[in-house]
Amino acid sequence: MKLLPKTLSFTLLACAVLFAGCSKKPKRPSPSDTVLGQGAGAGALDPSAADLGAAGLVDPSAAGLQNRSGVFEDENMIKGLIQPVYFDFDSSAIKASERAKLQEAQKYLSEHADHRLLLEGHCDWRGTAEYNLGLGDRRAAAARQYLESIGVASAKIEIRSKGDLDAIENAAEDQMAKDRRAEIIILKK
Amino acid sequence: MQNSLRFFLLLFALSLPALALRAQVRDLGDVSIKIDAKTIAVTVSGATPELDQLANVAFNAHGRFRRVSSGGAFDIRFAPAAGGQVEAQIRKGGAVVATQAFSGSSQRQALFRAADFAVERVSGLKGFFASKLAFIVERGGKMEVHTGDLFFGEVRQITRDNSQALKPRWSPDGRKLLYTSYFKNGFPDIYQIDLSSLQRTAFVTFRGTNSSARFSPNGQQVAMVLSGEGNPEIYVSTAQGRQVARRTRTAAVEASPCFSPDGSQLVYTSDAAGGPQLYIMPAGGGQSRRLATNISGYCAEPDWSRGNPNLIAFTVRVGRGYQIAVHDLSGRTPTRIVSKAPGDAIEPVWLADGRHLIYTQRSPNARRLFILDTETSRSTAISAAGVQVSEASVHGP
Repeated sequence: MKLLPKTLSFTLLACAVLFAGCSKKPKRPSPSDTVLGQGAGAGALDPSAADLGAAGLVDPSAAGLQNRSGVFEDENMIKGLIQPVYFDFDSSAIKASERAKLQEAQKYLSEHADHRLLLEGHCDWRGTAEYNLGLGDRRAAAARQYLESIGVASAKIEIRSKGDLDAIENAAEDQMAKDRRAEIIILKK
Repeated sequence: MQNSLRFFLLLFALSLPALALRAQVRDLGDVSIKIDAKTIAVTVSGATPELDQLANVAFNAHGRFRRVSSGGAFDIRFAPAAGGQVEAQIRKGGAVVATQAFSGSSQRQALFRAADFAVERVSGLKGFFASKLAFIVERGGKMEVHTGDLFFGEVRQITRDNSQALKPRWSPDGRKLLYTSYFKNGFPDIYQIDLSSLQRTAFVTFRGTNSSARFSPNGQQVAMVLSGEGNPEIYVSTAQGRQVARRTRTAAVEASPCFSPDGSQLVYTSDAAGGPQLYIMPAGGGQSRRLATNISGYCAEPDWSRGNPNLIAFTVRVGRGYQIAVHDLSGRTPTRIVSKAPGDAIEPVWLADGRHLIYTQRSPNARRLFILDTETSRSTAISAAGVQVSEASVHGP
């Protein structure tokens, strides 16, 4: 979820809601198909689960839930397969720690000759919109430059800057650090 | 003896509150003397509740005036006149010193023009109440271009791209806007939209980022930022987006070009020196020079005043926040920070008098437009709280 832009995750959510509402006849699962049914028989409900209300929860904070850092794929693109390249504050230099991600992208392209990359530059929400748009551009360009230096043809790379448009506001510093990135999106066409 | 002591005690007791009062008065006095020197006390009224309310809202946003209920230096009255006009009447000491009627596309717009007349007659400053604004409204991650008057009347949604639109900018004739949008293919391109037909045409759609388009004062040229040649640079084209010519070539980020009022120069942001700073260059190309503001390591989004061609407003980083600063090219006043916003103050655009400007107050997930008097730092909200409004562009009057 963190890796997906706000708009995309919203779209996915909207789709999920839409499809949930669209299924005409919800198929009821046969009781015997459920885990409980297959197991110990109908009468053997776990007694502790019978009153699983909020009062029964030891820790209601839900802090154990984690965002899905999954891969999103459609007919045009794959997002999240290769982790984003992160940058320091107001910087567009590729840190040594981030190079492996670009090397992975280079390897992917060598195995998928018909695919290309979209490098998408992002900034945190501080600063000013137009300068951030340029900074996002330069972050993506820095990633492109590194890819070219390890043998990726420039024709294989598209660039897009989102500036601070998708940044999370009022975020803690570690989230803001995640906004300073170049996404590596695989274009299948 | 007894009596005289009593008399002195009484005198002392009487003088205590007087002393306290005097101290109080002196404090207030200092402030009011300062205000008196800078502001003009006026009574503002309208013959109908609508005119009365609107005229007071307008004058309240103007830093040169102080509204009083009586005893002002001028008495400014507005009344409906024949043919949908609004008449401004200015009195001084009971005598009428000026009367003039104004028409407009609505009574509201006629009032703004009449009020601008009153501002000019009383203060000598050019009026700006009849300004038109273009701005961005953000809802649910979608950013659309809107227009309206200075006090958020007659607001009209211009784009319905269902996408992220950025930085609308007026053409000098007020008939068109240039803006940047991701709507078509997810890449930022520059579009032009005709305000009467709402017909949208692609202005510049090169590979890379196409953004920050701004007309020259005569409307014949457009400055913009393109990254299609590998790095964000300043370009200038014709008003039709043709004959695109590069003006900068650096390894740095260039952003936010703005023409000088006479159209001969461009001021823009570049981080060639490390952090973003302001630079000026001939609009036709040539040597650029850094504008040494000596105020912050982060200076961005400059706006060159038409009302006072010596002034450039821009956004500076102050501590962890951002505020508006003004640079005086004449060197008469030092570069100074003019806003005192509680969160960030960003995106300054001058109003017609070269003294007031509009800026965005930004806090997490909140944007709101304000009028700022750069001389008194008086700041007045013009967009509603709870609606995300930002990126103003001013047309007229």
